[in-house]
Amino acid sequence: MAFSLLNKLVDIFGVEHVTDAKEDLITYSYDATRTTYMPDAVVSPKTIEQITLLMQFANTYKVPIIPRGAGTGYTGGALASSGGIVLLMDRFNQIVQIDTKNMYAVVEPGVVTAKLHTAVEKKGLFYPPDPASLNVCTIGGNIAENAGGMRAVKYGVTRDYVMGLEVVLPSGQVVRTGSKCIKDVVGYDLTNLFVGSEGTLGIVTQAILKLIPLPQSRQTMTAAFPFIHMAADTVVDIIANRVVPACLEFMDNHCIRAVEKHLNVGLSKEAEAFLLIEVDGFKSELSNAMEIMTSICKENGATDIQVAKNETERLKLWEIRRSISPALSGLPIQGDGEDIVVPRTRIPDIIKKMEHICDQYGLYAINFGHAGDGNLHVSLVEKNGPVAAEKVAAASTEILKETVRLEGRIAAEHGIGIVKKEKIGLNIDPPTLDLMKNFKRTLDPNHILNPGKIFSFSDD
Amino acid sequence: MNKTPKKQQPPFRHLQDIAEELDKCAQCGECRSVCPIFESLEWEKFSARGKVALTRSILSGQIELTPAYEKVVQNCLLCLACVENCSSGVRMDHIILAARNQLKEEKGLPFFQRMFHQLLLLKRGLIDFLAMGGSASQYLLFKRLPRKSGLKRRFPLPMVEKERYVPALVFRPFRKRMPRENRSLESKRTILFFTGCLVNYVNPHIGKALVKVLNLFKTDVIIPKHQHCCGAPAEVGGDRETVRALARKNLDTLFEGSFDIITVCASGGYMLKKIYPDFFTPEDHYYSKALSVASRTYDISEYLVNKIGLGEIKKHLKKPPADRITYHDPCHLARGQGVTKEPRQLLQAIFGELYVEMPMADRCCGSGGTYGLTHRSTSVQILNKKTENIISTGADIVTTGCPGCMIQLKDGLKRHDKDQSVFHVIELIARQLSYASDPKPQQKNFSSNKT
Repeated sequence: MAFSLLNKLVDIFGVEHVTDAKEDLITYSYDATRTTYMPDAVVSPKTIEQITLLMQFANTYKVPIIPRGAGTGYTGGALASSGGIVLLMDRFNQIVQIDTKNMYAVVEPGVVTAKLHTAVEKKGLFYPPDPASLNVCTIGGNIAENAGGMRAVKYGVTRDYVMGLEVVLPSGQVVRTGSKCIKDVVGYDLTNLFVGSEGTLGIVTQAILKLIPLPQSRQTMTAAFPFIHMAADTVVDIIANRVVPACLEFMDNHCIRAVEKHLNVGLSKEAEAFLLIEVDGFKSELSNAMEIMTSICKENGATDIQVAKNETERLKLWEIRRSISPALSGLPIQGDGEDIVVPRTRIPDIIKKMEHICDQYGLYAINFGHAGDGNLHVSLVEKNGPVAAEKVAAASTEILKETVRLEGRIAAEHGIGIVKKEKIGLNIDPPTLDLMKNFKRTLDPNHILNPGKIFSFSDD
Repeated sequence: MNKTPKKQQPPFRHLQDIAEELDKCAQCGECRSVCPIFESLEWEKFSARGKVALTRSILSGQIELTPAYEKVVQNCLLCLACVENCSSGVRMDHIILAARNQLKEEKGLPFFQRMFHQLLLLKRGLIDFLAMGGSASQYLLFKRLPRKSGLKRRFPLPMVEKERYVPALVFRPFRKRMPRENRSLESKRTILFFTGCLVNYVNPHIGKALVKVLNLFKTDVIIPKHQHCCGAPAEVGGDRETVRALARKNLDTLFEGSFDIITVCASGGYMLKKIYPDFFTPEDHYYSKALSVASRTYDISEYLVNKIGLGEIKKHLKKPPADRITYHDPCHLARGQGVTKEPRQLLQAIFGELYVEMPMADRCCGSGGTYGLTHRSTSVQILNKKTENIISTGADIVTTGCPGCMIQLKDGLKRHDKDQSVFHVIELIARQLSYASDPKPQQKNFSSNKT
């Protein structure tokens, strides 16, 4: 970065909190995707005023600003895909307030999600969104990506817990949306415009998050099914019988095999589907719920049902779910992986379709995910020997098209970022897309804030 | 938990040799949540993921061996927390050591470090002599701390802050004080005691406690005279030649007989069990020696629980103690050797309900061998968190399984003006046992014990 520009940044942030050393830039050039883009500088603000000044700087010199939390995203939202300045939110890391009576928390965006969990749970409260990276990822990133997690089937996603935001707009102006009230119809619901906007519309500097009472207890079971439709029926039947599990996790046959190879706990390699089900609530209700679920599993043809009798057994069952990533880490996985979602009854359909598509390209698909909410994480793996990148991309496109045909969405909880922006048209029709782009143009006419994410502007 | 190391590939040297290890990293960032250094310094380059990215850039030629890169590579405790928590199984320790080895080969070691490594290779008697000199002259620079075994500085010194706890060197090293063979009354088995330098030169009480306890349980203790530094300080500096030279000497000493080998030093045990075999190719005759020694090495807590047995130990317990006890996991014992259960089983057997688990017990104390000397301010930040966790338990006594951690923990408690004492697990056990020379042993006072 030009010396004069860097000096201006030093004036704003202080020399300790600005860097353009290559050794630093490299470590902010990546996230959890497999692409890297070198930024031109990295800054770490401590105050809102500094962010405002940075926005003014960026508008003057037409430099992109890329907000960044922990850099754990899967779609490149925090990557400097057109260069620019990475804006670290690490130092906005305070839990400002936890109101136990009105049940909300006021937090800064750099707070690590798990730390918020611990803090509120100590007070008997609960912040349900639990993206898999919760030990690392930050609330700011969760809001930007509208992160989900395993508890979505019962508790919803990040969006359902954001009551209000303080946001620095690309113009440098600071706006406040929403409030601490459960009911609030004052003006447009701007909060939901910013949640899931992937850092393209503003920088969140504070959030009011809804909390709920911490469930008293939880119980966990697993069930294996010889055929996948049996598992799908089980999921539907359980909820139809008025039991809404907190988690309803799913693995397909390929995933079961990979995990069994890794863990060696006697999972049936023939099973087409494996469910991990957890219910939470009052102790007195849970045994009843477990009975209902066990009998539904049996009725639907489950071959192997395991119910955790204590915490040790519960953790053992969870070990199966948790070992998916290490189990998959050694496999020749191709492409970026999918994060699709369909109405939950369509899971067997999409899995069969994917199998068919993958067969044609010399691939197979490993699926695991959140059966309760229809969200699948798909990894494409080479069946025998290398498959060209274009072929993998073609298979991926076909899978997304099939997802849309089944009334699904091409991105459930990982965002669009740069990885899926060419595909956004599969889900969003031209007038709707235009409206979205108009919001972006209105708020950020100079395209300084996280440009090139979500969609491409032809007039860029 | 302790698998016999069965490394077949030749030992890694340079980054090129561990390119595969670097490829494994999926950049998920989970390491950010466990790295004590990243927690203190915040910049991504200090996290394991950042270090992987930088070493990758060295390999690809994107950056050179710049001072900034070197600073990052040297800023690692090798506490293995990232290794334990990595879902892709990236051996960050291997990466760091290979990177340091490359730096050493291409840029050389700093003068003082080179001198120090040379010192480790000196003849045993000469080192003893130097230590005696150090012991005799240490009071010129430092004064004794009241009621503690340590020292504090008399006047401003480089690297030593005003209130810093400094361990005192003993005048007669442990291995000189003790006979080679320490027989028990009724000899049932024999072990070799690999003392480690800190027991030898700083804290001989730990060694004495071990001999006393094992003798009580009908175990003869042989203290081989030709023991050398395990090489850990040279290993973390990337100085593989020095480690290999020390490993050969120690393997020659420990290989004879087929006795079990006991360590009381977390890093020493880790070197014998896990690291030495990595230093020799399978063709080298030291390779089989290293494997044999590795398979026979036990931390004292492992040995007591698995070979002597908790039942046998309980039989010899004396009056119920009234102290609240907590335990700190040394990195190279917990993650390095996989020993976490045994020390707790012992402490719970002796102290029952008085044993309290501290929050984040397996978090590094910031000592990290030489890290506490080379990266003082970060080390102290990490130590402060550990000390707060210790204080939160309300324990009167902190125990651990590593003489190095003990020095660091004492320093931390002193900084917080706390009076808790710090002991090695074996010292505490020795205190709670009754010996033949004691008046009337009392038994079965511990019915409330839960293990």
